[in-house]
Amino acid sequence: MIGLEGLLASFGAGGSALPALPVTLPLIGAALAFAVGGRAGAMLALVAHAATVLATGVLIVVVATADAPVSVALGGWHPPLGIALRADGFAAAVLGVAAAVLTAVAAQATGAFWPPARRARLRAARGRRRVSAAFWPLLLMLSAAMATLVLAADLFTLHVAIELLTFAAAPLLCLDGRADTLKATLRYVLFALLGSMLYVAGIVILYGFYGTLDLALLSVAVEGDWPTVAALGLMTAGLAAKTALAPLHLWLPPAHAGAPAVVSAVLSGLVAKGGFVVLVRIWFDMAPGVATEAFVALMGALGLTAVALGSLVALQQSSLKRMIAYSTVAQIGYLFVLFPLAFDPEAQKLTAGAALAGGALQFMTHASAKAALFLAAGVLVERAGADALARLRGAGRRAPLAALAMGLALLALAGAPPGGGWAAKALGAAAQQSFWSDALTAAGALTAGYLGAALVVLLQRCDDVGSPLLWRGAPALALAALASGLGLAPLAGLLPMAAGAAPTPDVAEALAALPPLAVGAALALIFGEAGEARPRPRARGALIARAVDALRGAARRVVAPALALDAGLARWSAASVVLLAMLAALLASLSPSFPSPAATIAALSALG
Amino acid sequence: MILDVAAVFGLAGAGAVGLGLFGMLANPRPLQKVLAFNLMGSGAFLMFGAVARRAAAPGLGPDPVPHAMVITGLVVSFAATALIVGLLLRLHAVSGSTSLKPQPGPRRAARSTPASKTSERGDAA
Repeated sequence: MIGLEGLLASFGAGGSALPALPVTLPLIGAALAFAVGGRAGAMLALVAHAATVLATGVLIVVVATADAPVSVALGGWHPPLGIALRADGFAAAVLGVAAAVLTAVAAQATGAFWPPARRARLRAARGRRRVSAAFWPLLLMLSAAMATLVLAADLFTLHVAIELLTFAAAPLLCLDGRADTLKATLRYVLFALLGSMLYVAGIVILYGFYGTLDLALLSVAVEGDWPTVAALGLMTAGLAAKTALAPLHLWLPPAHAGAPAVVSAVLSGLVAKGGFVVLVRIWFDMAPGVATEAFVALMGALGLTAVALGSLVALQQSSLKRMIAYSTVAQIGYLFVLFPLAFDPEAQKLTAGAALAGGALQFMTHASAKAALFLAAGVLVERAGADALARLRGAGRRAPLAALAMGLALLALAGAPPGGGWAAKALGAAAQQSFWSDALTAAGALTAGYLGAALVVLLQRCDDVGSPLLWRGAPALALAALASGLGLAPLAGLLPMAAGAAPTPDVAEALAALPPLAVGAALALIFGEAGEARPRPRARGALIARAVDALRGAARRVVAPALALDAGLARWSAASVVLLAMLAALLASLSPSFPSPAATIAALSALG
Repeated sequence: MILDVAAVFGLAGAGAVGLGLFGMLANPRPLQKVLAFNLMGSGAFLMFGAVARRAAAPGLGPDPVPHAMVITGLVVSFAATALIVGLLLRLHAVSGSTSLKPQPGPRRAARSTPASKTSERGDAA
């Protein structure tokens, strides 16, 4: 598609080929790594990735200093006939965090996925050779697909990119070839394809009415009439299915919990959010004026549903990786709260202001913190040989860097300054102080709760500490440090925030972040021993102990329905009904004749 | 009102998308889901063809851009089909069944395995 010829031709056409490099370099690397194979292939893959990181760095600097987005028309063919890649600030920010996540993943994968020496003739070595021969090219394919996704400037290239992302992710998910990971992968691919067919149906309608799929050309032509509404409804529902927005998350937890930890890191951090990138492109770049008050309220409500459901289920998980996978479900919900925060009720359109900057920061924080969590979990689980939290008691003491990474990721996600989560919430609140920004702050307590509950178990005292794994958690720690320092990063050149609008971490902000963290600590202590009822010596007052146990039991009974609800939603039939209902709700909320929630409330109160 | 050719094809494409959507949602067997997915894709591509025909100016051929997109879309859906069928074959080789139920209980597994095997043979025939 975008080969070396295209690259050379765009050099010849005099345009800057820079935005094409993050796509072409990993593609070339993937092909070479696949053809060469073995250790040399893995080395080539690392070299190609290093070159990609370099090119991405240069691109970010160029975008940050340029006034307009940097774009390249591939092969010298300009839209609407040709394909353009366009790097704006949002793309540069996402590319940067993707490069960081992929680098950390590659660093950790040089352990488990490094090809064994050619001479090793053991059966185990043969299996490992096959797995590692697949891993490195697929990782680079994924990198190329992600770059295409964030740089694509038209709806059809976005479709191809998100498919490529799925195709690179699916084999990675089932590298171990066990029946249950194959099943989880098939459910993922089938549901993702269902979503992408809805998306394709939407872009056919758009092409039929506007004669172009280029985002910039569409943005000046698009109107809120019924064909556009139908197309955007189909596309949004399809992308919600692809990005596992609860209650359409049936495929995510089994897939991400069953995959190798390095794969889960990149899938949870980057791939699961691919659909969200497309949604941002559609709603902020292409059709901000089509959004209605009812539509943004629906998106925000879905997001908060995902936050609540994912967090409450994560709180009750007895396995570390499943807990982190449900945390991904929750954090995808955070991203969708961007829609009501960015909606300007006076102009009746979405605005690309501080709220969008907050959304992008949220994206970057989740990507890096989630990848850090999975990488840290990989280190801890590998050592203990089990994923059950009950068997990971004290594992954090053996791998202190991994435990520290989990702690930092907790702070960044729960919204403690100067983490990215805090900055994102501050930007969101600056855009619109409303119910939605308060809900985001409150949800930080749940995040701190379930991650803290895992940390309580991981850091428990245990006798059999064994030899420490001091350096194994380093990539996870680097990513977690990135996530918890994002609030200080100079992103004003990339993200749409007014000069001086960047939030500054001070004592007042730190104090404001304390109540959710305190609630989270309480939750962590209540739920900290999920699935384990080991009688402990109680030296002090049996009455207090009994009261604590009663409190724990009551708290668990309160949140238990979330588990049942989640189990029901995990069935394909339930997800089908939810998908159709979501489609209907999206179409109704987008249609111009649908009354806005505010008008409905006003009408109801007038009746009263 | 008399429908023109493009409208007939467009409606047929929309109908195929609807049928495929029903199949994807309602059919429990993965192989039938793949077929339904292909039906949805074919319907969308047929709609693209109708769009191209409608855009034709008098005296000129149809709009070529949708055709390019249909070809790319066909490649993508072919790759998706191949990926799913490959995964299904592997799943069948590993577990002896193509059921996607996460962890079937022992009794249910005993019941569903022969059924899915016969369906596998039936599809191959």
